[in-house]
Amino acid sequence: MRTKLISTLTAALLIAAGAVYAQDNMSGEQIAQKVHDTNKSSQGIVLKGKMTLAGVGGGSSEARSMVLLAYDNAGLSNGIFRFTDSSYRGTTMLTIERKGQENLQYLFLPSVGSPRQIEGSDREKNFVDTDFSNEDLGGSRISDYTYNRLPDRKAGNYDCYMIERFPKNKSSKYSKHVVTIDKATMIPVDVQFYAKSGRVVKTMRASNIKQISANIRVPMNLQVVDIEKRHQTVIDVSFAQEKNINRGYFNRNRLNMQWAEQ
Amino acid sequence: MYKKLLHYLSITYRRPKLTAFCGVLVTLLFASAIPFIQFDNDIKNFLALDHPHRISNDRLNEVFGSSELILIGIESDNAYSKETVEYIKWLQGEIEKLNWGYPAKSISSELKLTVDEASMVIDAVNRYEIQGKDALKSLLVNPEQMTNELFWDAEFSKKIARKMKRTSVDRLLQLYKFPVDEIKSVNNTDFIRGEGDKFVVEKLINQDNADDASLQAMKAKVKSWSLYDRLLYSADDRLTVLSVEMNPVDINLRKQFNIEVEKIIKASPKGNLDVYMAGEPVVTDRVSSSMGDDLKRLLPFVLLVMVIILYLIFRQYEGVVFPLIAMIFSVIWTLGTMSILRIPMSMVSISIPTVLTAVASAYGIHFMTHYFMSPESGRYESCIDSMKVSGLAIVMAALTTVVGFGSLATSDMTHIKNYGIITAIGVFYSLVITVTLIPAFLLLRKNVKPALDFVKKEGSAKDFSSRFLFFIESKLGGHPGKVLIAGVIIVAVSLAGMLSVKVSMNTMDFFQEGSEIKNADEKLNAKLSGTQLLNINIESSDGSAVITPEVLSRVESFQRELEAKYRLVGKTVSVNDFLKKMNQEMHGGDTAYYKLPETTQMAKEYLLLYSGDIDNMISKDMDKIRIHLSIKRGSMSDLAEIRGFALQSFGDDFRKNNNVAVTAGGFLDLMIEANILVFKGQISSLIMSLVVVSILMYLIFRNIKLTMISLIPLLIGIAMNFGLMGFLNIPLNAATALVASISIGMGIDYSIHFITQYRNSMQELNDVDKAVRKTYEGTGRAILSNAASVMAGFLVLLFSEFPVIAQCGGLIAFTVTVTGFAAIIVIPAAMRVFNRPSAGETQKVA
Repeated sequence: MRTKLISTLTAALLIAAGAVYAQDNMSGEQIAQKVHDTNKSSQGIVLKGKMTLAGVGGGSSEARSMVLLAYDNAGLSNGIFRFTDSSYRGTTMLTIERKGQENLQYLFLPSVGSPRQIEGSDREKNFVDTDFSNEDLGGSRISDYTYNRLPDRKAGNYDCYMIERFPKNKSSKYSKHVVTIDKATMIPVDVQFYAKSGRVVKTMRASNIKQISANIRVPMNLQVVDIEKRHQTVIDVSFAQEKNINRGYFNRNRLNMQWAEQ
Repeated sequence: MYKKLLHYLSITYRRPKLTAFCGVLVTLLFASAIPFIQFDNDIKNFLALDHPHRISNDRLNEVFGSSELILIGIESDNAYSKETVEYIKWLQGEIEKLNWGYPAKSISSELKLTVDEASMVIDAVNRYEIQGKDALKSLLVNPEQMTNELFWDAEFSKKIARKMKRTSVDRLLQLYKFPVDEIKSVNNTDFIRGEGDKFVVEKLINQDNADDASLQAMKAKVKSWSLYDRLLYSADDRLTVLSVEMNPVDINLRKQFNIEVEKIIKASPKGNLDVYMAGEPVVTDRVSSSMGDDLKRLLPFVLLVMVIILYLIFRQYEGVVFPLIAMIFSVIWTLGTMSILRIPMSMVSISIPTVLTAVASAYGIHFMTHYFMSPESGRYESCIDSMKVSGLAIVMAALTTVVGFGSLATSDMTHIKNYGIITAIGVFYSLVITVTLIPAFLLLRKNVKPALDFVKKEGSAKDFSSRFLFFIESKLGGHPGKVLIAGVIIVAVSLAGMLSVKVSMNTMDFFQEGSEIKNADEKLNAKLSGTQLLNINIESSDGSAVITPEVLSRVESFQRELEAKYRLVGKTVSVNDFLKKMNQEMHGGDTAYYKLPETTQMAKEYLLLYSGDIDNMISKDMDKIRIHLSIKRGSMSDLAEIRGFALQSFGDDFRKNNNVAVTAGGFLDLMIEANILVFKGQISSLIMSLVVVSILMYLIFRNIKLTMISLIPLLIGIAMNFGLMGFLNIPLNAATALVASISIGMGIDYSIHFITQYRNSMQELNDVDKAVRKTYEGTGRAILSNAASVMAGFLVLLFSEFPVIAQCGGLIAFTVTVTGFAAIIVIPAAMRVFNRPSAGETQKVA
């Protein structure tokens, strides 16, 4: 299971909600796998919207336009994210899921000129200056964690599974994540990130889930809050569509090229 | 008015049992509060809450994190050894455990909950704090909401709601904070390297896999980047440091935390490793924790000395016991008041008990002297008689002392202000106790009033005091002009010494040479870049990115200039050091590229790529940067010069052209500000005290000449105090700065007593010489006795563990004694020269 943007915004879109009512005797890992395997489109998905960075409870805020493209290739997700305005215009992150291996992530910064591969040890680090981590954008795998299923609960209007997952990597800054998953859509609607101190230091919430095609549902709002830094990043999706997208974009050497979807 | 007071006092004298009972009851109540007294020597708290540097420091610490660092140095033959790395891993883990468990422990103790219950409260705060204090407060006082939203048991919710009605949310949030923000060591320090198209930010070593190869690799990494030199490892490879960044938590929590860290270190020594703990939080907290012990150790000795002095004066147990009770009660009432008002004990206020002991002894001596000298044989009549003869002088002396100390309340330095307020209250207590409880206890005695030897010897010139006073009068009484000239010469010589007095308040001055903390501090300062931190903050005025080539290149040249110019500056670190390394690694590690990026955008993008921790050097929005200066111990003037140079390096043109503000911050900045306040406060408090005392003197004597004469002993005492400080190289600091004010507060009493008695004698005898002699017989003896007791009491402070307290005690003893002698030598001389009544006045008096 992944608590990443891909899984909440794109992978979550690719499987019909009606087909994913999971069995109630599933283990935590099976639920996580189910989340990973649902809401995927082999055709492709385009999401456009605004990302707003702001302090919690006031202070200055900054809004940037963003575009996210994703598609499923035989059960493996490929995603690409780009800022299209502000001083971050052109900053692009490519994520390629690989079977049995670490996912590949590349960050392209226009002034630096060439894409830089994100190290595995940097997966928990923030994606540029946002409160999303690189991992939230698709950097982790199911096998990076161990899982435990918690009692189901209602979260607002959602009837949910609850699981907790523990990083296998000892140097992870988190002790566990507690994930609340909407049973109807298999979209994680709430993730609590626990530090080793035992306190929640980061939360991620998805809301306003909309069906954009026959089989795909998308949370139109995604909010990540860094509790320690009292800072938040909010994504408001204004455009979501399932469509064929150019596979050529998903190439580390073409991260500077213009997209038709921009 | 005094008659009215006497009337009320006589009522209490008629009910001695009730008065004594009330006195004992009040004393017990105050005593019960004393164990809760707090200690605070945090330099930050020397400055008022609204001090601009404190505000700026707090604001920027919100952005960059606290700059309060505990430094734990680990020394061995080889600091790159597996043993060292494993010890650091263990110690870091222990401190983390302690840190993470601390809030539950603190909340459990404050709210009287079990640790598990406190953990549940912490979970609730964790969930709701982000929504703001109001949301948290409304949750924690509403049992129904807690039960519904937190799924707590209804009874537990009610219990928490009840507890929260007695505790503020602010206090809860204080306790909720972890004492430590971050722990940094070789085990979690970032290293930057390029590898193909990867830009790798990795730890210097994987602490879980510290084998020979990785230890070698770690050493190579450390040696490859000068950033780590003397910041993480000493140049001789023998010492490495673990830095514990403290959060701004409650001062007592921090002190307790430090003690527990020290216990962890001492409980598990490692054979080949020497561990040193230093850094400002440790130093200031160590002052606080040792101060209580010092006080407990010295105060009984002060009282013992007073007992001896009282015995030598009165040679009768009543003359010892009742003034002693007054001293003890005064101290208990005052310390109890401090605790109730939550005024903490500091390095400044540590002398309060001794001051009050001295003050109460003075009032007790005056009262008891006149009590025993009363011709009445009944105790009640003798008490009334003593109050009639000496009461007004005691009241006036006390009130002037109250006002004198109270004038310190105008100080900008919090601890000095608190000192003024609490000492003024304490002196008032001493007065109340002297004029009510001493008589009450005396009146409870069933036996007859004893007749004392010194009363019998009065005027016989056989006892030491009388012989000494007779000697003074016989040798100097005939040469008032010469006495005054000698006084002027002494003041002039003192002024010469005064010119070399330096302002230097450095927390390390509180410790003796060879003490554990001083050794640790010296070791870390010698081997590392410095244990004191000064920050230079550059922030954009319009919120734009501040990492422009112009700003960064100025920062670069500033760092180089500062390091070259001042040997005390051990290291400067800024975002530049990281940008240069990134630039180098982005160019295949070519050292030619160890330079700043050429454009703002490139610097920005490097920082976006950097996944390590540089939050303490650049703000998230890149609109603020902080340069860290590690500085070794030095004189305050040198440190102030470094700060001055740093701020001047970013002059008006630079600020204007780049639209930035530049400020200093960090511990050293606050320390320098505190020193400035000591100096300014010394001048203003002296002027204020002298003005206020002059006004009071005029109100008492209604005579300009007498007012001026009453100030002469004070001026001589103050001048000689500063002169001695200059000659003995004793610095002016928050403790020694108070000597002058204490001397004014206590010394003015001598003038009041002497001049009051002199005027009475003049009325009676109408002859200056006879009046002086008569004054010597009564008040002169009391002044001598009092000066001796004050001197002896303060000299006990010479045995303090803290050199600063010892210096302070010695100076007060010296100055008060000088003032006492000046009162009995110079006042008569001045009277003879300036205030000899004219023939007309003589007739009028007659």
